Amino acid sequence: MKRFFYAKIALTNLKKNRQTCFPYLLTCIATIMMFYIMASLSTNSALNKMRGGATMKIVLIFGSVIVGIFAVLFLFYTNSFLVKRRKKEFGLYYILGMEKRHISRVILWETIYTAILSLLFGIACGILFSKLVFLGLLKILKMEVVIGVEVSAFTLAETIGLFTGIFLLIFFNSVRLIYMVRPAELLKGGQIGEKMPKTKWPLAVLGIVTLTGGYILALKADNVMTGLNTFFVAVLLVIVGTFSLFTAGSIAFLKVLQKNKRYYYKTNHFISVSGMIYRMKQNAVSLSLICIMSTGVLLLISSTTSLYVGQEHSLYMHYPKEFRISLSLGTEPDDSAQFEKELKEIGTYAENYLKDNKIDVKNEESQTVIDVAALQKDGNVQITSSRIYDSEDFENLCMLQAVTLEDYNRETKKNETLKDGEALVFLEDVPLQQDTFSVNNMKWKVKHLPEDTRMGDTGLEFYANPVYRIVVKDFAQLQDLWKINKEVYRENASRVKYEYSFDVDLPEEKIQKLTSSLHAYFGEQKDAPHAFVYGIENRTEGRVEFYSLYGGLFFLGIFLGLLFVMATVLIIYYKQISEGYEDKERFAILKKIGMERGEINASIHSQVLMVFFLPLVLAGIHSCFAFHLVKEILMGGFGLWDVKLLVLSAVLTFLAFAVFYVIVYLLTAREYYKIVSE
Amino acid sequence: MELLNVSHLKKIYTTRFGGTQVQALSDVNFSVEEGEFVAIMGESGSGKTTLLNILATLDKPTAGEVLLSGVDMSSIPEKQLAMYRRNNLGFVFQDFNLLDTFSLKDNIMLPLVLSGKTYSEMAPKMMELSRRLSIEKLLEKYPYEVSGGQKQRAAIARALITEPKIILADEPTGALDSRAAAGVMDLFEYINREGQTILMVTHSIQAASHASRVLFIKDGEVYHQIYRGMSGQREMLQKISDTLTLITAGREEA
Repeated sequence: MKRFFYAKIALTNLKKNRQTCFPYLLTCIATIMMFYIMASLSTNSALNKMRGGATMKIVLIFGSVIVGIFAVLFLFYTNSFLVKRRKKEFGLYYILGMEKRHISRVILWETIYTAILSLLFGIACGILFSKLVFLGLLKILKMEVVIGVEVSAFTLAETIGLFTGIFLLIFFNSVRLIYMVRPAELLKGGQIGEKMPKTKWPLAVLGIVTLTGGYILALKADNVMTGLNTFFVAVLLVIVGTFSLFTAGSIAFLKVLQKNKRYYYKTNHFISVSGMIYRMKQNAVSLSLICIMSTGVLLLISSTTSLYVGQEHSLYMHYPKEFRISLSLGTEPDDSAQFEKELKEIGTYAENYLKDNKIDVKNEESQTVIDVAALQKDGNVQITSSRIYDSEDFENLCMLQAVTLEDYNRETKKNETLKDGEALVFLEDVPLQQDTFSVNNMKWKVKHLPEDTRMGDTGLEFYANPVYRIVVKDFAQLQDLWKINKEVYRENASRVKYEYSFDVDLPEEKIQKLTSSLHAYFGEQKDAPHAFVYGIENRTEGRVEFYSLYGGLFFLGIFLGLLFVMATVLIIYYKQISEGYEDKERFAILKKIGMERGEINASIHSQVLMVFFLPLVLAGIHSCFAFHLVKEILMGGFGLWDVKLLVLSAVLTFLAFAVFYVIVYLLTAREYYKIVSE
Repeated sequence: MELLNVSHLKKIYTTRFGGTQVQALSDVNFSVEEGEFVAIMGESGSGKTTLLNILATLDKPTAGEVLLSGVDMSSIPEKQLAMYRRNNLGFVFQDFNLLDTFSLKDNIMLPLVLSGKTYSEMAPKMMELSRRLSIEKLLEKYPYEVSGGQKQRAAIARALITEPKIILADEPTGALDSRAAAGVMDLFEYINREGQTILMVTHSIQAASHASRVLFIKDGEVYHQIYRGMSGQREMLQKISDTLTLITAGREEA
């Protein structure tokens, strides 16, 4: 009977507080739904069937871990906000003779109701929408796979387990909050006169220092290695900076304004500056959260979008031609003429096969070439195995590609000549304008070409930047370079290879067929007359890998972006409501003293506007500074080269987000004005 | 010289759906001379607060008129009301209505800032006032840091700083202990001696005994009034208390 009593009170409470409880319930449902979808996608059996599914699976598991962590933090935060708001109500129970343990019981029932409702609806929506989301994902990946709705017991157990844990945690936290305060405080609740915040200069200075530090770090990164190394430190610094600036910096700034008597004692400044000091004290944490989450949304969506949109471009950079077949000898003869002869022999295998099978190829290109990863120094190149992954060396990392003059003249249809000790050198695809060029102990006089001479793509930019390309007089020099390489890298050394690339006009299945028959053919020829190794790359297969990685990231970006946006909306909503209740009294007093309604509205409007758009503006500034860092990481780590695309998607994302933010603001502001003018 | 004239004031509240009508004021007539300190007494529900709200232009009468320095208050357009209130009326409330966001000093200067005065204009005024009300040591403090009596002093300073024609006080001692209340009433007497006209609504005999005239309001009408004349505060107290006994007795007889 008694237990029934508490359960009933709890139910009435939820109904009575629906203005705050309903959005909370919705958030719980949405969070559970999103976690369930993410988790169920990562275990969906269709992933195993699809190409690139393994990559996708890792991306999705990563995503569900993030959603899980986020859920813990966010629901916890929201709930402690709710409990603080309801202190007065609990105080009343206390006065009416309930002990704290009875109040805890009421809270327990409330938590049980919330947990059951949100788990039920959350999982139901999750099951309902997971198929839809999976279809969306496949659309993003440009794949067609037949899938069914799967409800895995594991995912269900995982979801229920995680969120039951979260709700328990939330319950204990509420009880802790109730036990911590004295009853008199409970009764006063939110009404207690807030003290004027003191200026915390050390914290404000810390904020400026950490933020500047984070920005500088972000700007200093100049390749993917330093970028990744500094990324987390920079993010951490910026987060610390944001929090301390919002909590201490803003108040310090306002206090300085307050000290300036000629500024402060003006009708419009007077009310808003002093009001802002209070608002900032109460809202600093939420505002920093909003700011950081907005920055996250902006960066996530803009970077994954530009990767996704730019993936064809990256793909063509990696695979300039549909097919690239490289063949090299298993054992290289010492004599360079013999070496060249044997390489040419095996080099014709691919061409012969295509000719025999009457396959039309276009844009054929063939060359004898060696590609080496090296370090650049003062315009020269050093092949060395030492500490390539050391960050200082990493900055100097470059690719070296060497071809013979014969191949160069044939492929570019030129008629260049080289004297002994001369070479043509290109940096990227532009002629190098220096007099000499050396690789370890080999030295050449650079033969200058007209500045507008160009050389086509290599596909090497994908691995490292820049690419030095040297055209040497004959095969013997190519062999010398190979020897240097062999000395340094030993069994891992890249070989001198015969590279044959071409385009074909064939549908996807035929390309796959051709690839496998080429594999079969090379396998048969492997031992006669010379042992050789071969590699076949084609763009179509590459595309699958690209799409499952970039598409997966894009999907994750959008998904997490939505989650963050939802959290932001909820925080804004709660802010508006609690601000409303606090401003109500201030409003009334100002009116009695003789401030016009219009003036009051204008003043409050400007304060609310400032409070809500400050995080957006700061998020924009954060994103601007992060842009450079993100660009470096995307360029080096994910092969994105189209900076313009990144800029465009960042700007568009920001604009879209800002519009959305304004809409949310306007909708929740209505709630605010309703409360204030009650 | 007559400062405030209230004639045939009537206020009827109609419930929102037009059903029942409640008559708060039926026919109130009185006037206040410049430099007077008038207290209005009455029980709860006698119409005191309605009267004060109308005088404060926060509410409109159903009939009758209120003239302040010969100006009919109901003729002032809505838009100028706030400014009119700021320039001509000073308010002292039971619960002080100081803003927690401002120090006492800024609370006092608030009305002048709203009127667009410069800091150099208002600072000397504020300093001078705070010396007169002996709160000059508390100026940098915030409302939650000082006692109730001190809060009310600051609120009085805020009401005085615009040099209003009349101060309207609503139960100024209602939230104070007896010592603080006596202090605040002495202060009212003091500023009144310096020429400030005050109209105070109260049901505290103690508070009313500081006034130079007490009006008794009952069932929406001015029922009786007594003048302090040359008598001291103690005698005034006695007079008020006798009158109240009479009024109560009269009701019992009726």
